[in-house]
Amino acid sequence: MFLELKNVYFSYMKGTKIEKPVLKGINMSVKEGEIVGIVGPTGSGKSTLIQHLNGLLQPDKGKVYVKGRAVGETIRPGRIRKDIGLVFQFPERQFFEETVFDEVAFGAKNVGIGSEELENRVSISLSMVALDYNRIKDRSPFSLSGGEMRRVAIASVLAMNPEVLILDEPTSGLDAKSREEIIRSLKALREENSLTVIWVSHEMDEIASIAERLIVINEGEIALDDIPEKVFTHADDLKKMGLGIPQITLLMIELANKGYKVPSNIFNLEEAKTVLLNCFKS
Amino acid sequence: MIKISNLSYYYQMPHKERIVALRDVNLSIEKGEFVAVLGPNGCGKTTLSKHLNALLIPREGTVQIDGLLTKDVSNLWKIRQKVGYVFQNPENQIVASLVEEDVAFGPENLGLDPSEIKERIQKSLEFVGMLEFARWEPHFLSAGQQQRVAIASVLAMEPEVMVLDEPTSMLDYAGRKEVLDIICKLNKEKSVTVVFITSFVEEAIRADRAVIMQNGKIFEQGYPKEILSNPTELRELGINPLPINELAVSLSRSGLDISPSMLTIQEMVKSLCSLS
Repeated sequence: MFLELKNVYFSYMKGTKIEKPVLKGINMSVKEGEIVGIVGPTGSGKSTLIQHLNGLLQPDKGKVYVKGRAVGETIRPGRIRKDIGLVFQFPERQFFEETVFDEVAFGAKNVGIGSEELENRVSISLSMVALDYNRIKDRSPFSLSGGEMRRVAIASVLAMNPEVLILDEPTSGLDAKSREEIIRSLKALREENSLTVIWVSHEMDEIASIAERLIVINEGEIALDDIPEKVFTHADDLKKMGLGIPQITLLMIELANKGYKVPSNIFNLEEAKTVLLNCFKS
Repeated sequence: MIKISNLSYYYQMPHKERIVALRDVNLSIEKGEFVAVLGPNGCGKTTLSKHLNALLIPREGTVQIDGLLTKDVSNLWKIRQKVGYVFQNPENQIVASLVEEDVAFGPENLGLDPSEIKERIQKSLEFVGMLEFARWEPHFLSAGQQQRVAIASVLAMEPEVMVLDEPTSMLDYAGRKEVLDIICKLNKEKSVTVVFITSFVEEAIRADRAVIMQNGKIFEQGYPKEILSNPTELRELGINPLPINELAVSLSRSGLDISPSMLTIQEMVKSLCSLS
């Protein structure tokens, strides 16, 4: 197993009167090359969870394993950060360099990558997120569009050559076009470079179309962990948690409730089309 | 209520560079109307909205609010009392350390009577369903609740027009629904004229009229159902069509006798059921 959390507990402000338990016994694992979606309502513990995956936070109880090694025991938390890249929410808010080149190079430079290799890495990372190196490298990162900024931020993590890429709500605040750009680049990235991707989101329509597996977190516990088709059979539970359900799935549920023989866990347009044509075209 | 004529605007950058944001825009909005303005990032929709309460003044053309020209500095306070503005991120707008103090900020600045201020706080918070949080510190609230407080704070000024710039973009599903319901209620029950900026088709379908912007110009306007039901065109504009709409188009093309312009699940269920 590539990444593994065993019985992980974590509280903020531990030992104080306002101690707030956030993770309550998390067990999960991620295989190499997998693309996993983590979903949950605001405040469910998603962001806290992913910070455990790259050693930014360490569990109060339980263990995190990276390629079989226990973080904080047989491997230093700082060491795994090179292999497990984390893109924060609104990462462009952390921009501070004067050019896109310097911004993307910053992390790699800090771990001692030499100038020739550095240029190589920056150029590859930018092309991985479909940005033209020559056109963009000397521009100020602050002069870019929202979608471009987001991709530059992702490129700066890619320049560290991570094996796992974790993204916390990578499309939030972006319009449809920029969202699609991000999704397209990440899909391509994964296919061409066999990266393991962990994608945190609350956009159900979006994540259903990307992830091979969905982990649903609610109130610090894993509520569901399965392929999207199976997860959406729990539509009532998801609604109770305040999570959206893909429109197509909602339609299927409505029709099933009215007595039509349609599966109620479809979220994909093409599948829905086939099913509905079979059912209604006579 | 709002009349925009031949409005152009550019942002002045260093080295004499200009970024043109609006090109010759004409738009009239009636009193009590609910208008949604859609478009991709950078289409000029936020720039347009900032002209409606004189946060920006036209470089060319005019904007009139209830007959008052925004260009004329002496109209500024009258216009700002008529037009309330809700920003994208409630954190940019909430100024006080208690919810009720934040709502009081506007009315206090209008120089209202303390008893009147109290009443307005009560009414506005009640309207957005946040009365029980009156004595909370805003940062302990969820993002959706914060946005509702921001709306209440603007509402307490009793504006005739409410301009909201992508008020749901920072919110999750539950928060989005909360805020959208409030905006509709505002329009229907208080007859406030609403100008709602968004990049989601889903949020625009409840409006009386939708306006699509592209490249600083108005690309198209009309009933939401009429102009937001063409998935191919929307995609080209950089707007995500509704999955139900795409499904309707695709089913109708495959010979199913249903309307391709459906936007909601209810419509779809109804017309599918009528087939059998």
